[in-house]
Amino acid sequence: MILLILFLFVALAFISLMFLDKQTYVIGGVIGFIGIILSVGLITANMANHFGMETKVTTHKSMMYSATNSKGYGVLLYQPVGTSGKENVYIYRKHEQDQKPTIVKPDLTMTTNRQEIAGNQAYRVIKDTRYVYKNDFWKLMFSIAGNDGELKKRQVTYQLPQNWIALTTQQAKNLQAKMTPKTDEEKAAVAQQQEALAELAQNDPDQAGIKQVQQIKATLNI
Amino acid sequence: MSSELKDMNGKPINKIAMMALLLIGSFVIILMQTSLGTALPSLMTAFNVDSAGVQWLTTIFLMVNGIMVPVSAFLNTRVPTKYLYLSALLIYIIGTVIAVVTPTNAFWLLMVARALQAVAAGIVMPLMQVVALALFGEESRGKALGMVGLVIGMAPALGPTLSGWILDQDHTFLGLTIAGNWRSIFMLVLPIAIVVLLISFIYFKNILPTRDVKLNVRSLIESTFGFGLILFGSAMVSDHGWMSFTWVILPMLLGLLVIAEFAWHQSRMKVPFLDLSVFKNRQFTITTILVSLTFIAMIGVEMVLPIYMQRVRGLSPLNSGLTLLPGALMMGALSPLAGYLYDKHGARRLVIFGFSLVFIGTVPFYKLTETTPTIFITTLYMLRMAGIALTMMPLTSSAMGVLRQNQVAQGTAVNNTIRQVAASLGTAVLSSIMQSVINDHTPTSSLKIKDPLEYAQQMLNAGLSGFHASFLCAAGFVLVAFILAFFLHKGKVTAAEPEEEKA
Repeated sequence: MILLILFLFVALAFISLMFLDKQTYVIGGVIGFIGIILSVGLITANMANHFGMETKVTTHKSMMYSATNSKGYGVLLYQPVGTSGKENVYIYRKHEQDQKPTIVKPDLTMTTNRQEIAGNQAYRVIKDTRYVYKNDFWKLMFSIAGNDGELKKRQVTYQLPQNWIALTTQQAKNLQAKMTPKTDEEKAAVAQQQEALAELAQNDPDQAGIKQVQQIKATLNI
Repeated sequence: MSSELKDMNGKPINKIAMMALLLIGSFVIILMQTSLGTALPSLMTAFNVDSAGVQWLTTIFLMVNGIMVPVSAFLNTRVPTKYLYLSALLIYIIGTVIAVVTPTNAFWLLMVARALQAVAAGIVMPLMQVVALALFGEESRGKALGMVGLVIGMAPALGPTLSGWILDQDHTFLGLTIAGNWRSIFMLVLPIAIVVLLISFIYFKNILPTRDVKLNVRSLIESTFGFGLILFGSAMVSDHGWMSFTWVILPMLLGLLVIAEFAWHQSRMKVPFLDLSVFKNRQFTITTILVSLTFIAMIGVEMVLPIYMQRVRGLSPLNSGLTLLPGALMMGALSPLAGYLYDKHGARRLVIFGFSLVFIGTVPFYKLTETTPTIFITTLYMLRMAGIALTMMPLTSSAMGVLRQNQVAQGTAVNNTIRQVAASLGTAVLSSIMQSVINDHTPTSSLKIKDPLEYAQQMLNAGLSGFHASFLCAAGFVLVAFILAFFLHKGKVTAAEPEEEKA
């Protein structure tokens, strides 16, 4: 719409200045120019400062599943981006039956964090802040720009209960090496532990998961 | 009117056919000026040269073209129109054929091809203007130059889009398959040029009076080296910066000295090679400055916007070309209308209106962000190009209008030379401002390892500030032009000395 208005004002100014007589051309020209400046001003305000728009926050919460084949507990893998470690790439599975894990890389509009929660299910909470038009008038004016619902920023929170653990990909690798028993005594100890865990898992699976997570933390010293 | 028009041998001229041949031929020739821009990356791989090397294909075109334009004054007075145009077309065809068959281990041959094309472009640009003015009478001068403006405004703007389209993929057109590689860019224009050449044998007539002037070799050498060095220096600014003594300061200084000597020499010649006395006419000088500013405003932004769209927005060359295409078409459509209106009102009103449109259409680019909707970019660009269409050819018409009939070839050569030099300098200024602002804001590379996201954000901001600075500078040029436009004559101007010619 704003483009049509701009076009009309340009046409008005052009026709007045080129084809009309002395008195009328001044009026037409002045109106035309004010119109051109106003419409270009509105376009600029919209493209630079999202004029006519407001921000709207939507939240979407979905379950997530362990990135590895862990039994009884969940693992959220992550890898820091750069050495400052402000942002991470996260790895998890969207559905329980997924063969391949989902990898989420951060970008300029996305920030992530982790949160501990109660319960036994892990969630991924997406909080989107989007630009939407304040009302139908501005929507009609600027809809051609196709910027309705443009993402301003996205905040992703990974909510982990006590039977989940977040590991860097490096830690996950170390863990495997450390957990593999080497001597016969170690093997026997592990077998004993497994038995105890299996028994606990039957009665209280959540508690069993928590116990495993604590074990991993102890092994990796985190 | 048209039935009265006779050529130099007294035979009638088919005005429309001649004009059409001139415009189509010139269009395909001038198209080559910008069409390699989008093909440079693929040429780099094909010929195995680096980006600085491949850039020479553009630089050599610009330089040879700029060197040819001042020579055109001599050529237009010495060589009969028909043979001049036919040779320009022939040189162009030879150059293009060479380009098509160049083996990929002979990069120098492609350079030769580009130089030949540039010679042709340097001949036809002024020729088109002089012939159009001769074909149409004084009262439709604007109309004639409006059509010329359609070509010189649209061809450079269409070049990158067309080659972007060719390179995008293989196309099948009328049962013919156009392969999506750089050779097709040359192959596509070739048949058009050949057809124009053949028809021109019949329909193109000698329309300009020729005199048996001797070529002044000293002037030729001076103008070639003078303008060549200045153009070379400004082309090197983007790679080496203004402060580079060997690449920029030295050639420009030498060029200026040679031009100064050239000018002094011309003023003492009885029949100058390039008649600089046209500058004694104040209206001619003002209009020439204004035309140059218009050209800077047009070409500068035409160069910066695609860089923004490809680097910041990640658009393909084709899509970035398509974003600017409506603007180019707008200019093509308005140019003849502007010519018609010039014939009615003169330049002043059109030019003031035009420059205000260009200014209003340039300032918002200062607020460009990484998410600016492309439709707004297209719209603002159209607004600018509409303004440029309303100024460029009416100004040129006005510049020609104040000259006597026998000065037109000289005036055209002077006007076009200044325009070319200004455009190269202007582009150099805009691109170097952009580059230096980007360099100032570029984050340290250690941040890339520490925090790549923050690094990317700062790089993006650095790029945007660079674009903002160069758009602001472009808007500054337009503002100067807008103010200068008020010094133009009111109404239509004609030569001050028509009486003595009639007598």
